[in-house]
Amino acid sequence: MLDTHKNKRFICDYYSPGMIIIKIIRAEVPGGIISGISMPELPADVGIIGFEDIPAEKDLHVFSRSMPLLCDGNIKYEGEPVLLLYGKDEKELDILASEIRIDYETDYTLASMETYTEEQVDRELKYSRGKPDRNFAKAHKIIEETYSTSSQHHYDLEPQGAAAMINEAGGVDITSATQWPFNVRDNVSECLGIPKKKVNIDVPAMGKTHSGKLWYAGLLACYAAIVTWKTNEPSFCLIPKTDSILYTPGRAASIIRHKTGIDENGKILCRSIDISIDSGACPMLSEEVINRICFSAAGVYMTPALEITARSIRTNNPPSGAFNGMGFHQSFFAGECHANSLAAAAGLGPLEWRKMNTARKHINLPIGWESRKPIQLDKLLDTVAEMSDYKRKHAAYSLSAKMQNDFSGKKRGIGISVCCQGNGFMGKVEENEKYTVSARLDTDGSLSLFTSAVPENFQTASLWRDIAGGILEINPDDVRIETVNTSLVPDSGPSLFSRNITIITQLIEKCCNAIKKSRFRLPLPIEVKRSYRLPRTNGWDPESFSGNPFPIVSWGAAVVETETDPITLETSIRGVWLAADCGKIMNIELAKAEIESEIFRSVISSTMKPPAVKYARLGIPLTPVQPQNPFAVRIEFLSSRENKPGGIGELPDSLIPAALSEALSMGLNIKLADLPSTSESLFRQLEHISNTQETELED
Amino acid sequence: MKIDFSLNGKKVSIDTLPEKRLIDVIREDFGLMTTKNACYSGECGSCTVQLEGRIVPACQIPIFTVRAKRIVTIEGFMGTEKYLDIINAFNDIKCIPCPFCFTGKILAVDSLIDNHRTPDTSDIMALLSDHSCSCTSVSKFIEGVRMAYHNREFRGELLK
Ligand code: FES
Ligand code: FES
Repeated sequence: MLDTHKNKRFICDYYSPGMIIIKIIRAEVPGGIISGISMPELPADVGIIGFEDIPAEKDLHVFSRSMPLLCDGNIKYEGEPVLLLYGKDEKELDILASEIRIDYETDYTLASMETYTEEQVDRELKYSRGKPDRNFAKAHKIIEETYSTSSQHHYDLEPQGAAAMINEAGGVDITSATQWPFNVRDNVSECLGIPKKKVNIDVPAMGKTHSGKLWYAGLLACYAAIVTWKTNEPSFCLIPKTDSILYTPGRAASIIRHKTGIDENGKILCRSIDISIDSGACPMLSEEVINRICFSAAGVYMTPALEITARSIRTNNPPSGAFNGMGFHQSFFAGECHANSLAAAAGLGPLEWRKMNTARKHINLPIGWESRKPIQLDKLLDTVAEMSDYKRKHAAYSLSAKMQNDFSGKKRGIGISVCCQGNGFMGKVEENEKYTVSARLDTDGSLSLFTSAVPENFQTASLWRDIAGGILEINPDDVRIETVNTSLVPDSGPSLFSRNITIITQLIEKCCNAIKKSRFRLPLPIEVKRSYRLPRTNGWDPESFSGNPFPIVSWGAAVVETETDPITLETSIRGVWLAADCGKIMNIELAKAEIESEIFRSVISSTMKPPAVKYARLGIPLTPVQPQNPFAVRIEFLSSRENKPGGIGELPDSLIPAALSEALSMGLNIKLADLPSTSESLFRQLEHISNTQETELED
Repeated sequence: MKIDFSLNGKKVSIDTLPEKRLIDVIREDFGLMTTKNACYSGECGSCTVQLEGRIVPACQIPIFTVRAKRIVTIEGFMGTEKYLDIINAFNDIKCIPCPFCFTGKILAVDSLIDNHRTPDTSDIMALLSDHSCSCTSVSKFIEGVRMAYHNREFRGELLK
């Protein structure tokens, strides 16, 4: 039954009168040194905590990376937490917070991605295969382009927060809205300097997270833990929505330069790709982003000679974090937009060119990785083209786009793209981790599943119930997914990158199959545990670019059709078609619903202004706006050669931005190279074209 | 200040600051926690309640303005036949918004379909634009609203 909201307690429901409330006092400048802090006189029941007051470990850790829990005196970004002000009266705290004055020595140069220096480079990867120089020399045409994508917030509706109280063991119980409870536990235990077993993390109900509640949740949990530890009283820390949008980790912005040489037929001979990503002030997950961006930079096209340089750059922006795809989105936007330019240079249509250049069965992707299962890229492209009537529409719209000075009527465009989705982490970040799920079949015939993986939506939870119920031949309603509490469930790792589908679902299947085998031999209850460890041999080596990057890879192709008013630049989407090859589909209805909602989300984020402090100050709403009109969506799944379930949720965000950008570009006969594609960017492009035409006329 | 109003069909009275937000009164004073708060600025739709049958963001309503008015929250609406019209419709078409935002959307859908006319696409889009969720499929949502309308219409017919 769908009334999943019944009796659900979200993090915002954990406040009760009498609890200590925590306010975060943030840096108001993006860099510099704190030269002094003047405080108002604090009442007896109000307290303040700074960097030096943190009881033990002062940094937050995520795999091998860390950042200070509170500003250590050197401001790294605007909005960096400097102090924790706490007390029981929220109004009083607001007044006191407004009276705290932080003085800064602001003699600093802002570190940006566009004009980075060597010291800002956090990590650089270089890859080279074949002889790019030699191939560029013999190329028929060389096309060079630069694409950029902006930072992006998750726009998860539910606020971020944590609550803490002292427990009977003399440790702390934390309620944390997190996708990674064991990381929260480890960080809390370290910052308080107490054993892990004295810390319990309880995960409340959560709305859709979109990977926005990964490591940042640990920061807020540590704040609540520190205040409770100091005061011995329950505390509550919930950050305002605007702070969450402006300062919590979003998607890393990128600048990607493509240089490609093609032969007379339009076949790729060589490519040189230069990538910069903005990892913000503290590069917590940029290693993974860089690995993934390198893997996907050259797309799915055969490339005899290739060189890639990718670097993550420290800037004075808030730290970037996990976001759908983590690097795949940026890569495929740039790569697929560039593919359209290559097609144009070759005098071919985008579909034709793609089919000519896509990797064939068992042929390596440009990065040197060979898929173990046959890839059906041609079939994906054909399917999506047929579903959308792409060929006819493309021919018709190309023709009308050529009438440049015709401002009558709406301008239609159509774009196509193809991509892959890597499921799970790919770098070495996880190599020592072990993830476990357990299941117990009780005497009453019901099954309990124990996992710290947080189902990101109703679909995943019901999929797990269906699978377990199916294997054990019990009613899915009799399958209970136990509450996530670190003292009750095993560590199943971070819940992102579709690993809930790829890894956790498989572990659940294994547990249930094991129970099934012993069901009539052993007395009930039967409890089994199954674990997953990243393969030690043949895992992906980011230095040599070799090995097996993901447990499973999903593939997709999409077409987007748009209609734009050439005068007002108002755009509507006429339709989105998507075909996917993503392994075994457990429940087709639920899978379609998941993809469909991600398509809408991707359309919104591809056309929406990025959040910025200046917008917040102007009072401009920061929340996403729905498209003005609904549009048709059709999704098809190819029958897959892969028999394991693959992720699907990240495909739309790798496919839609490039296809949408191409459709808009085609309709208005321009070339968009930035994401998001806002009406402002359409206007800038048109302005640029008209300026160029004027200059040509004058000449 | 003492303020009397009707909450989920019951007469209630509260002595509080006149400017206290309705959402805080609902959650803190009456313990109705299924009504959510997220942005506190009237933008996101999480705190939607019905005031005299009209949809309002409870975070933007000072409590003194609800004197003698009828307020219905999701808690009062759950379990009613009207609630089932909506929940069954969305269940049938497998449109599954997350539990955080769905409560506000349910009340908004109820107000819309109670207008006794088939909701058209622009009505539904206007409803959605008051809920800053970027993750529900718009076409599915439209289908859900239409089906909820038909469920209600069908039930009305049966009653006749
Ligand atoms: S909390 Fe009221 S509209 Fe967001
Ligand atoms: S916020 Fe709930 S479905 Fe989007």
